[in-house]
Amino acid sequence: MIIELKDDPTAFRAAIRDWVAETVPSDWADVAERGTEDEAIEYQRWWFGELAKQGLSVPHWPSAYGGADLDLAGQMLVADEMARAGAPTLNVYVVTLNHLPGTLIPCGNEAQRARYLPAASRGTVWCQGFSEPGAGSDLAALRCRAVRDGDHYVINGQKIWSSMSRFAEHCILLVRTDPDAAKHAGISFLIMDMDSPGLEIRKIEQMDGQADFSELFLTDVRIPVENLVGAENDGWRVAQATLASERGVLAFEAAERRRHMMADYYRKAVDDGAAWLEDDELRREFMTLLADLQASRRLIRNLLEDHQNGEAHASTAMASARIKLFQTGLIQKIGNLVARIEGVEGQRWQPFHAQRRFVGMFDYLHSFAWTISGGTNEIMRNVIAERGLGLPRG
Amino acid sequence: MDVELAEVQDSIAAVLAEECQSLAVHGFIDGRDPLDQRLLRLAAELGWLAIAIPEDQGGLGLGAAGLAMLHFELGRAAAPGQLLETSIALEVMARSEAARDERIARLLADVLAGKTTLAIAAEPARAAGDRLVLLGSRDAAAALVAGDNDDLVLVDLSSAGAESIAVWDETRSLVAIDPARAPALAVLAGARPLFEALFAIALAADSAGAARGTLDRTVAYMKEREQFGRPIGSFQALKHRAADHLVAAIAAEQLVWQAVDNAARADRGSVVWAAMAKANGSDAAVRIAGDCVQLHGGVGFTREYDPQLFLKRVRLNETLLAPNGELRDRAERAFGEALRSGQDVLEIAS
Repeated sequence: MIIELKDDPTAFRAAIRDWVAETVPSDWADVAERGTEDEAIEYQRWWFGELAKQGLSVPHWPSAYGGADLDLAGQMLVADEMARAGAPTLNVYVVTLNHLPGTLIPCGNEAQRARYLPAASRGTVWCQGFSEPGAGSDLAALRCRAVRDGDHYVINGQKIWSSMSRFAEHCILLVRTDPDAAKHAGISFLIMDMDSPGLEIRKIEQMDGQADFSELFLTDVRIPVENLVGAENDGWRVAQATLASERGVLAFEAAERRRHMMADYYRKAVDDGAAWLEDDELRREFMTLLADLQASRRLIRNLLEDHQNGEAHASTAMASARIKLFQTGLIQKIGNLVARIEGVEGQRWQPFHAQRRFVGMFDYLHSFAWTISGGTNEIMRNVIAERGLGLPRG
Repeated sequence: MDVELAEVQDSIAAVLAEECQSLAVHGFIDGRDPLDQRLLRLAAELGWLAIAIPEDQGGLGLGAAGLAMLHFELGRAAAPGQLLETSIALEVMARSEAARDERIARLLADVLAGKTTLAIAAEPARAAGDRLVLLGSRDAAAALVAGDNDDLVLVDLSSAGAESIAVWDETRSLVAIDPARAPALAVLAGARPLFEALFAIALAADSAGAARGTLDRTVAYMKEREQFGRPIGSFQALKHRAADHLVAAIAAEQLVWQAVDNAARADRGSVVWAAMAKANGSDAAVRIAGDCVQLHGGVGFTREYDPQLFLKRVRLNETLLAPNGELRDRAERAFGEALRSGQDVLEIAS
């Protein structure tokens, strides 16, 4: 297994590079783009399985649960190699890889960790049931109701914006167990199997042609009490751990991928003699965004370095908010530019792409998923202004 | 940034917090306080002018990183004077063969001692004709201007009859000379790429610092100023703009450091990142400084308050060296050449 080389960075890097080149077909992105979104998800499952064989699926997890205790520098090395190779992305595993351990390791019990984490390290897919139609930015307003019935909770309610839940085996779910308590005090955190009777999953057709998100309708869904994470009515605290779970390496990899895509896009334009290179406005805007991307890559590196040096959580959380705001705005600007560069040709409908190259209109439309989800950019501005700059709350 | 550099930057910031407060800067622009002269003396005493120069030539040996942090702090304080042009010219001259000439060495010593200042071409790429605009004061001893190809020429200003140009930014000065009246003292062969890179980095750093300076003061004002019975900083329509400006200012600062990392290599990456740091940084600073005037409301429109100082300063920065569109074109050409030759200028040293 490649992970066994982790203590020798040079050999580790070389082994990953060679293995990816051998394992991933060079035309994987083109093939993926000719298929459906569901086929692309199958591709991700295959890729996750291949990574698992080399110990590279969850190297950042503790070894007790299927990981390899890989430190941050090692994680960045792996992410950097995946970005350089343009290897398949693992969008369907975002909750599995980050939120799940980020929750169960600090807040779950040993039985839950032993039951779910090793299986997840081999590829079970997890999703998150947090937002509701009436609880978006104001998450604590959630109303999905859980009533204790013997050794089960009985759940009735609705969840929305649950990403990749059509493909998931388990869901981390926030429910209201005490409707009379103050809004943050009556929430509990549960684990739900996605094949539970009474659960209906309805995909949400997105404006970018994809259907990553679904709505969940829960009617008398029974969840065993042993699936409670943390104490009853202490779910808000557990959810804070979930939401704070470390995604810095994810942001790092995404930015590194974008860096290679920018260079590839420019190189191809030169090779093709693309007209936009002669257009002062477009060419200069490309350089502006290339430099903004460089700045954001440096900010992410600084954040990870602070993590490594054990910087206080409050300061790294602020840096994360600033990076989220800057980075997602930049993704939108790049999509916007590429859409204009591509002109009428770029208006050709393309509902899915493999994030291996820029597809202007798709990237532009999809970018709103970034500026709206994960705490809208307006929430980020509040956080930065109030907690970062010390401006008074409104 | 390493610890030693951070300590030097803190010490510069501490001196400026003491010596270059808002009141002093206003005293200077109103002609009541020769703050520029005090800062020049301090800069000479504390080694700021020689911050980049190698230690064996009497400097602090901090290179482009030293220049960047010095000018970030000077920009943040809207510090008046000729420190930007003088420090760049000194560094370029110190690295040149010309520094071995006895007359030039004497001039450098006088400048390092704070006895006189140097000027530089405001737009080195612009053809001079019979009128050349310099960034610098009327009493500058000499100026670095463009020569043939990649050369620079150090010209004597003692009988050039430099004529002051009254500019909006009252914290710095421009002069015009007739090049025919400014005889060459020395030719600095091949020095222009280094000169333009350091000029760009200093402008980028000054702009990033100014953006941060005006933003910090604006945020402080937004906490104090009340309307409708509450601090205006509590209004989302205003605080969201402050958050955006903070993020843009921090990104601009990162580009300064990217340019610094590349400066020592004097390769295409150095051209790309110096040009982009100045282009993106001064653009961002102009947007931020303009909105800081707006966020102040009526007092932002007065001469008495600080936002105007920073806005005018960064608008001058924006025009210096070369227009930002042209800098982006230069960066794009260098980026393309680097890609063709297999050099990856996007790599970030760990």
